[in-house]
Amino acid sequence: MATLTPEATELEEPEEHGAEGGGLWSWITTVDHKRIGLMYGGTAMLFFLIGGIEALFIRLQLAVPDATVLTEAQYNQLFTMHGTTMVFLVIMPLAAAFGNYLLPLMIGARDVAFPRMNAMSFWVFLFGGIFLSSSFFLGGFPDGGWFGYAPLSTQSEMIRMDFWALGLLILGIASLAGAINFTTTIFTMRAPGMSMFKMPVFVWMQLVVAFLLLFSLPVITVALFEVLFDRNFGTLFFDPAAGGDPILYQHLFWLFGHPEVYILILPSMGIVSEVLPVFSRKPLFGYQFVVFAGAAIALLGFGVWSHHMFTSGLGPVAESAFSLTTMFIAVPTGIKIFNWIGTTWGGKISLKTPMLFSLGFIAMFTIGGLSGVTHAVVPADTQQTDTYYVVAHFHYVLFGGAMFGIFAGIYYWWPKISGRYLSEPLGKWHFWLMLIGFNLTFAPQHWLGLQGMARRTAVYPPDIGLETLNMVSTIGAFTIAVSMLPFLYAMLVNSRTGAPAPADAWDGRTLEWSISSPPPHHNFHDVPTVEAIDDFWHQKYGEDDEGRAVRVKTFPEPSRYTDKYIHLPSPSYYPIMLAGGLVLMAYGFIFAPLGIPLFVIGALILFGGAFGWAQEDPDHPMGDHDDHHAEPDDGSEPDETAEEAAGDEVEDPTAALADGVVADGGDDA
Amino acid sequence: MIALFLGIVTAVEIAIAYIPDLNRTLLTVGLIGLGILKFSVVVGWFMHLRFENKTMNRLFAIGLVLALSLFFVVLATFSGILAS
Amino acid sequence: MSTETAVHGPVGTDGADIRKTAMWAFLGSECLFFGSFIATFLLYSDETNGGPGTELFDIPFTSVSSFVLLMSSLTMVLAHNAYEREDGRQMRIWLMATALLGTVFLGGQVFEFTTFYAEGLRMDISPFGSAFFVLTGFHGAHVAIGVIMLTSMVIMSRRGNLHAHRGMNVELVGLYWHFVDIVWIVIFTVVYLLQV
Ligand code: HEM
Ligand SMILES: [Cu+2]
Repeated sequence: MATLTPEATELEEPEEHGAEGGGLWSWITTVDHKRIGLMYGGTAMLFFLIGGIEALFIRLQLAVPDATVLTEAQYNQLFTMHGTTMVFLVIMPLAAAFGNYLLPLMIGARDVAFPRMNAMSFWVFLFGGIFLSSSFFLGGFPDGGWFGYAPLSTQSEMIRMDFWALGLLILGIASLAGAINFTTTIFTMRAPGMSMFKMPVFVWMQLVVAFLLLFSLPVITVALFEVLFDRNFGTLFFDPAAGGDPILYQHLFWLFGHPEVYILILPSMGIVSEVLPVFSRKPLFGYQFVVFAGAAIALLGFGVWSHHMFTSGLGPVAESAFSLTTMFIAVPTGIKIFNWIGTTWGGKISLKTPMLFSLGFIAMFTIGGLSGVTHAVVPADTQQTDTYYVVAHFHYVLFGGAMFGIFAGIYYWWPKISGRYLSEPLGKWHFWLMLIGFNLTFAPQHWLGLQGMARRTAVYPPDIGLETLNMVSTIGAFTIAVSMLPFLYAMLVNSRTGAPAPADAWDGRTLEWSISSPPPHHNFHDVPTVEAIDDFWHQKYGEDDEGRAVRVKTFPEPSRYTDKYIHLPSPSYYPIMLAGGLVLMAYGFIFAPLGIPLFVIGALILFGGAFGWAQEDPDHPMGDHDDHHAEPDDGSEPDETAEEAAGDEVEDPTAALADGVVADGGDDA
Repeated sequence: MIALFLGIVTAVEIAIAYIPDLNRTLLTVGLIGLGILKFSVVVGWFMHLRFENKTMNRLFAIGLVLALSLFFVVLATFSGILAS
Repeated sequence: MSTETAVHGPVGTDGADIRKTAMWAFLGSECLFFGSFIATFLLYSDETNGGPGTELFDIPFTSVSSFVLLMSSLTMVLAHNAYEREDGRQMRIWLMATALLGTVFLGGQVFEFTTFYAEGLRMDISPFGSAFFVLTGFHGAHVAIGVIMLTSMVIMSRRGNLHAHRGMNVELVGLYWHFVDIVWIVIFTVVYLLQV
């Protein structure tokens, strides 16, 4: 199946994705990081549309004073789900999509460290997202805000906040598995010669994000469990009447929440750091600084959480301390901005769509960072908190920042993924409409907030000077919606009919451009050896006397196929089984006591999946576990480098014989 | 050997906890010290962390240090140490 | 190139078993998981809401079960040694012993919980009760999962399905098991000994 058997490599040009074949089943059981990345991206884009529609409803309601488009209850549900969707079901998974697709390609590996765990991450994410969104049909969306402050979240009677807490717990599992996978992949599977400081910046940023996830997710997990237990088992964690302290919830949430905002932005910073050098035809200015600034942001990011709680009465010492750390975090952020600008400085800039989005990213993110620094000043924040000024801030960093970066990445890597360029005119329409729409929507919110317009309030009265800017903001929101049309059209149509893209579509610098577009199923025919940062560029270009780049070598267009035997992880249906069981359990829990049978069934499926997974013979995955002692015959000894790079957690035929000893040792033998 | 050592440490801990009228700070320091000792022995020898590479050591160390320091700060904000 | 030796799994470019790197990352993450619960407990250790507090703790009893768990780490080490020697029979014996000790510990916890409930300390009576039961309960759940994994190891080994090069192996389960043990060392010190 997934294994490129010697026959399958007779260069008979099978359709998509090497020899893996098409068909639904092949996608369901796939462990190929590229397919998983695509599924991550596609799913997240669907959720992006859902979250966007929710936002349009919010803006419709706010377009005029005293509006009645939505009831207050509906409004609460929509802003809660809009925030939750965009953070957990759109930006995080999109970052995971890029990580999945690109990490192995950029570090010269054939897959991630744990391909099946990778597939599980995706299925858990998909089912978790469906679970969370299905609350709409089962009693209504959650309505306690994306941060679900207790005791609001613990005291409402409806099950909708159970959906929220359980949904986030499930999504947390997907993210944690992904983080462990990426960490291990980056630490252990880099191509020979690629030391840590020769990795592309995007890889670095993914590593930092993985660390942030590793160490912040468990904290929100605890907060969510406590909410869930308060709601369902009568515990009193956040019940002030009994001595519980809601402030504890705020600490736990923001201990996760602030690292989380860097989880959202760092992948885009990585993307932009890849795009800018290519379209400026200059190396990234100050590689080490960008990397260290990323790591510093992560470290400091753990020390600023209480700036979300300035109005909760922390006391002057704590407030001053957190105010200072928050201001400090602007320093590494500023360093990055200077480095990006330095990269473009004096470069031969080509304003293709990916570059436009990257420049847009820098500009918008800078504005958002500056308003962030104004929140760091405690007395100022006391005025700003819970107003539209804060809403403006985080949309400048999240939409103007993270989403613009993601779009830059999509336009940049789509030729690699699909083998075709996206149309430049459509891309430019998309960019300019989105930039204008975005600023129309969110720039006015700075003023609205400073005038005192409170966030999370469904209506505002007329005649207090809020009408015009709110109307502008709503018009902006619909402009953003329109800007998505050229994008969707390009994605749907250009992917099939666009101009064919060569392997090295943009004269790139990193390893993924050295292989065919779309990439071979096994990524690299031969695992590359790396000597420098931007190794691929240095193979192509030398320097003349004045330090200008001169082309020294042109590579022939690489083929997608090889006649080598390359051993790849085999498909498996256990990941989806495990994920399915988990979500059934969640539904069972919500509808207890009626749901208890469902819970039990889910648990059995989960257990069966885990047990099957543990015993699965990766070389004969679909059943048949008995004949693993038979292999391999040494004639088919895989290409050495292939196996070590291909995510050998699951497969390694050479070891099958040897380890049978342990398995059968003693009396069985 | 190591197991014996751990057993003895546990016995000492319990004994300490039962010494009547032992100064409270001394007790706390003593128990925490012994706890750390046991912790390190299990992690270092049973779990072989002493003999593993830097990556693994760091991954675990970051978790440990973050857990200790973050929650120290959180509890400090509650206890009023930072309030005045 | 990666798996010349029988017992050790796939090796990454840094020369270490990639699954061990992953396991340590997971354990680092777990530190914050238990850290959060322990912090919650410390915050609420006096919030008894008029209900019973730490005076119910039975230190001699808990010491014995702590000792049982500590010894299970020893049997786990012995199981791992047998595994390295490729002595499947010995390995299974020690794995079983470890699982058994874990079960005894869990039995102790069940007994403790029922006693506390009978004495009026419940998780819905006070934040102290909530924090105590949920912290120790999650630890117990970790032990239970460990017991399941140990038992599965034994079954898989008997069926000849235990493979060093893929999935879970004795060393990884061992790491997990020891970790659960050290979490208990912390809980025993912080939650029990320091509170009475
Ligand atoms: C220079 C860097 C930054 C500083 C100094 C900063 C500072 C702040 C402060 C003090 C607040 C609290 C405002 C309040 O609620 O009163 C805040 C809110 C927020 N920030 Fe930032 N921030 C920065 C960058 C970012 C980035 C990069 C992101 C995300 C990518 C982000 C996302 C958010 C979000 C989502 C909120 C609102 C959370 C909520 O209340 O729902 N910030 N920021
Ligand atoms: Cu923040």
